[in-house]
Amino acid sequence: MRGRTRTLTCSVLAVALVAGGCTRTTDSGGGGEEKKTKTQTGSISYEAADNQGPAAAVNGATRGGTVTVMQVSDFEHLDPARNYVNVQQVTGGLLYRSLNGYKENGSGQLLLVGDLATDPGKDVDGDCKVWEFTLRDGVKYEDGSPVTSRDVAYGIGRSFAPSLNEGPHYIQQWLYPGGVYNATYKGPYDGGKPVPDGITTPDDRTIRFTFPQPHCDMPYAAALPTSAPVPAGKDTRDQYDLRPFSSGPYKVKSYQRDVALELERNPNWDPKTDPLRTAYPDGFRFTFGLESAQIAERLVADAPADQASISWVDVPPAVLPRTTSGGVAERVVKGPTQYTWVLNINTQRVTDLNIRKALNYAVDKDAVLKAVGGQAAGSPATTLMSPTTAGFKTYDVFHAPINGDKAKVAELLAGQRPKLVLAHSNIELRTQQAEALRKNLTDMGFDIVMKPIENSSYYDEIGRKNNPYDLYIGGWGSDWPTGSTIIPPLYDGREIVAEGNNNLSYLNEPAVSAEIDRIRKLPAAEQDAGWTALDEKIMREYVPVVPCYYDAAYELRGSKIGNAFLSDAYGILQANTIYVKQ
Amino acid sequence: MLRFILRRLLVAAATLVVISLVTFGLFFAVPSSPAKVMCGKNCTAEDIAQVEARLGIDQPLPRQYTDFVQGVFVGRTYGEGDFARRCPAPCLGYSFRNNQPVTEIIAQRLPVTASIVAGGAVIWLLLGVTLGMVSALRRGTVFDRAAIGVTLAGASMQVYFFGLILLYVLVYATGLLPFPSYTPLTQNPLRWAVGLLLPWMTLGFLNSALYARLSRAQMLETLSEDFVRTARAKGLSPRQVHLRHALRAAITPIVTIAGLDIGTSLGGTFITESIFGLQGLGKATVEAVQFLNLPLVMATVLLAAVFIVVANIVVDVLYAVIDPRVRLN
Amino acid sequence: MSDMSHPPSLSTPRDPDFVDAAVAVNSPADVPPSRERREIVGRSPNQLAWLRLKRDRTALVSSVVLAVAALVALAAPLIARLTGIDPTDKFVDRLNDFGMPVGYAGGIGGDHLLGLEPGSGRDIFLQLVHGLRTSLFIAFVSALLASVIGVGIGIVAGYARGWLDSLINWFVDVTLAFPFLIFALAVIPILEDRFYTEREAPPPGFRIALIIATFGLFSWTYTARLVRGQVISLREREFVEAARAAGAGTAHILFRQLLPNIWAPILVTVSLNVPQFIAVEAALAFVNIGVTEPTPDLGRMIYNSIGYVASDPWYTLFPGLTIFLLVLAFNLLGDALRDSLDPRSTR
Repeated sequence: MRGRTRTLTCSVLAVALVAGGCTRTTDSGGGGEEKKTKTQTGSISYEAADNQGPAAAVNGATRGGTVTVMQVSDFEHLDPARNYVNVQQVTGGLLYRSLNGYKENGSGQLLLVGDLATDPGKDVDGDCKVWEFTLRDGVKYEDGSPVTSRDVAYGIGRSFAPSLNEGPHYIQQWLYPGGVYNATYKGPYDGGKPVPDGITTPDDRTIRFTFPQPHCDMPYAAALPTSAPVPAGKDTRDQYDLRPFSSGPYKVKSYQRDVALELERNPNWDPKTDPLRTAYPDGFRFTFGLESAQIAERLVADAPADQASISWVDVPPAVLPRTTSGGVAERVVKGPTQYTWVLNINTQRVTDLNIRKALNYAVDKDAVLKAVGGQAAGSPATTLMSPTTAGFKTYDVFHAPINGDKAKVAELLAGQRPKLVLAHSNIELRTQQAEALRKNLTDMGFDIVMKPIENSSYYDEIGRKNNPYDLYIGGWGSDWPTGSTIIPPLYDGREIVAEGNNNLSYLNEPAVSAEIDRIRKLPAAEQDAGWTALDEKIMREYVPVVPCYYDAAYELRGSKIGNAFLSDAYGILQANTIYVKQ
Repeated sequence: MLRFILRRLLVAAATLVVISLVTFGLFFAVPSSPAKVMCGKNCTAEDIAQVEARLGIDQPLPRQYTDFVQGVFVGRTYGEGDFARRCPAPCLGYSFRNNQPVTEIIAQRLPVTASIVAGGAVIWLLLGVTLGMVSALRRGTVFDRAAIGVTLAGASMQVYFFGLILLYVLVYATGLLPFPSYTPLTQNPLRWAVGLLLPWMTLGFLNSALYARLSRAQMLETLSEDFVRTARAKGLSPRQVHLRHALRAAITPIVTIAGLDIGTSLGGTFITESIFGLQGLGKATVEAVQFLNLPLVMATVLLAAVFIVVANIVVDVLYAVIDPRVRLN
Repeated sequence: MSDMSHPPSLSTPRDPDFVDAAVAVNSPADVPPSRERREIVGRSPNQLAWLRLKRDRTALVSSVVLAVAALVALAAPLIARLTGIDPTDKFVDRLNDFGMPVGYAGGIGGDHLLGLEPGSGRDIFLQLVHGLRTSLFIAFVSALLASVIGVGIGIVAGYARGWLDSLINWFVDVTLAFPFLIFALAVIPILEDRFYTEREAPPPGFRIALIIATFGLFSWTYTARLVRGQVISLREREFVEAARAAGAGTAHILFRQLLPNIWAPILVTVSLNVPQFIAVEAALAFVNIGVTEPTPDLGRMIYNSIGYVASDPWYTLFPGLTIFLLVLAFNLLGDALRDSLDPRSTR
């Protein structure tokens, strides 16, 4: 089609368009097949060399400069008790230190080591019930006062407060098993005691957790932000979000909600006490309120003012083709993450197993994936856990072709035409994805009703136990790379509550719950295989979801950013050892 | 004059009361509770009730409204004890999402929008009116025809499209300009101007197309009026006739429309702001609606209304000043 | 304001010829605009206008463009049947692994005249044709609604005088001061929740009706002021006096005597309102309250395509060019109409 119109319009638009439209688009937009699926071993290191500060210097790194992080929306929470989103966790890691942390160097090696603690925790009796952490000497807050184990205990205490309930609650639940984590202890406010039962601080540098049941995952749980120290005197409760008291290499310089957050150096942070962070830049500046296409185009253009910038926002489909040529391609940071996207089937409503199976044969995973960026967004999935999970083994129960198998669907539906309500977030990308699904499932013999939900309350709405919807897409990433933070939160029926569920298919099978209990009691070394087997069993026998795709990150950095690699722990560009090229 | 202004102010106050009442009623009807949005995940009915009490939205609607009005004049305290937040007069509400009085947020956002509008208005008034006047005086010439063509195209162009093309040409592809950003004028006037050049150009060019069309037609109409003929007959130079007589008469309706346009835009230029990633009032308002940040919605709606109402009054006064035919009494 | 955050009533009072009237009305000292028409023996003003319009080449070209657009929009289902492609059909196999259409110029080819949408793989031509249908429908009906409301209120205000006139004037001020975008953002979801249960999708027509209603609610003000000004200038004229003396009722005077004399400016307002509605309807997509998927819509298509301006310019070009031509044609026709109806403002 080398017609006249083509030449004409290209020259008209050429000024603006960098001639994007005049070349032939080929099948592989992303520059070839890249099957880079890495399975993490998620090892915990007690080696002194790994646990000692300072962090190893990065080759060629220089101190100074300010890293700009361009984001679409502001963080919901930076308060360590409420911090449960990867971008917030990475940012929080610049401001405060948890007991443990992940040490990464870009080679794919992911080590859990002590951060505030000298090592990832001592299993005192060898039964995973009593855990003891010793704090490093010389760790100071931004005002120069020393970090004590009482502050860590107080930080965990306040995470029980109902008004600060957004964070992860593993340790909290383990301390008070059975029922809601804060049913009995509601934190230190309104006359509550400062520290929950089961936590003791024998001295300023020791903190000890005593759980009624064994929890061998404690070193991982202690890497979550709730174990960051909060001095009681600095606790501003719900305002702590806006000004966390720093125990890390940076402190808040200014914070204008929804506009910008600026971090500057904490002069009292001592690199010798920190095995994770090199803190090369003099500061970080987060800007909010940009659209994802604006961010990506600016990073593609790499203007002098934007060269020391990164973003944790995936490049949107519209800008993807512009990231494959020479200079830009070098600045793409991509790879698989720990998230898996599934089409949840509300099993309370769709009780017919055949319909759930039919859905698995019907979904066109190619269309679902291409609507959000194709291979840049992920790769088709057949399992519940992502390939980054420890002990992962792939399987495929249905062996459906990627575009679906109409004959099989017809056979399973046996003449009925189920009417299903598909809920989706109302942002453009998710709407497009839902429309792809609607069209696909309609063609396959379902009646689909699309229900857009305001993006900010999407997970709240589908997290209500008696939500009126049948199908909804959702992504989940493990809190640490083992199946124990995937299968139990997502598929254990006993965890279903009235609001705020993670078990979005509302699968409530005693057999699954029993199996979860059995695996949890296995020795740590055998648990990985247990979760993998249960993953397949759930899909084979109960079909609560349609696995859609394993998520991939596709981010850009400016040309002056050094040591930018994808964090395997958080699935986004890391910040601990990043630097600005001078 | 004074009586006229007083009467207008009284009517304006009535307008604002009605608008605040409508907004209040409107958002009271929103099905999802702002308390629930604020409370977040894992929220029990008890927690929601607590948040509602703090926001003051557990009260009956009329009470909430009187609380609001009272806050405007004497300030207000939200919550009790350790959670208390003081919001000094004029209190338009307290945003718990931002943990600050709404007036502070507006104080941060309004300068952005005001800067965009100010620069844009200068361009569209100067460029548009000049272009229109000149092409009216050179009616039928090549200049006039070209101007008609360009302004027609400009008037048919949309801000989201034109802005985006400018962004691509001047920022992404060539790097001639930096991506728009806002630096307070008082901090660094040069960076303020450079950062806002693109929105100014976008708003300025598109509106100058409209203003050029308007002022051309006005000028043509005026030139055919009797008083212009009289002035010519008196033997005044064409320059004097055009500038002293015709321009003065032709500009009156333009002032009216410019006043209203500026007043309306000060309430927020949402699309311009979002295309150029600027954190102005328009973006703040739309985000506030999406997050059900009701105090902020209420305040921005009222503020936008104030701007329009004030613009109306200013226009009427200006009108009397410019046009000798109009006398206020 | 070309920011489009506001509906036409706030952004079109720049129809030059009538501004005078509107402004005069707006100001406290009502200066009745003098707009006598030169009469030529044997022909009514309307016939003259029609003659002038027929001679105007620009008017001819723009009417042809608009007629074609209207025809295409009306014939959309036929086009779908002829090509055998439904606008929602997805040709995902013709997208590469980034979701971009394979081939030259965004997948343009014999099967897909204007190529495919990236991501979804829908046929751009069919989306465009069906989208045009939605957008034109919304714009036309909104313009009509705004005019009907505006004429009704304007006539009453102009004829009434006294407190009713003041009240209506004040009501116009309130409407003008109320932010349209916020209202639409708040009201559209509320109404959908009121009328449909959580398991029902409101039919596409419902959202379209809401958009039209919102437009109508906010855009009558300009027409109302215009009509009021016209009525004030006409109400003391002899023919009205004569009708009153003959014992005609108020309704008769308003709608049989006055209305026929002011239809021309109203017509121009409608023709200039339509393109504004097309543009604002597209702007609604920016805040997620436009026409919902899967109903094809030109405005949403533009919004979705904007980001692709560098990576798949064809996708951005077609809907963008369509809306530009459409708005331009309406503007030209509106100008020509005004010129022909009022010979004093010849260009």
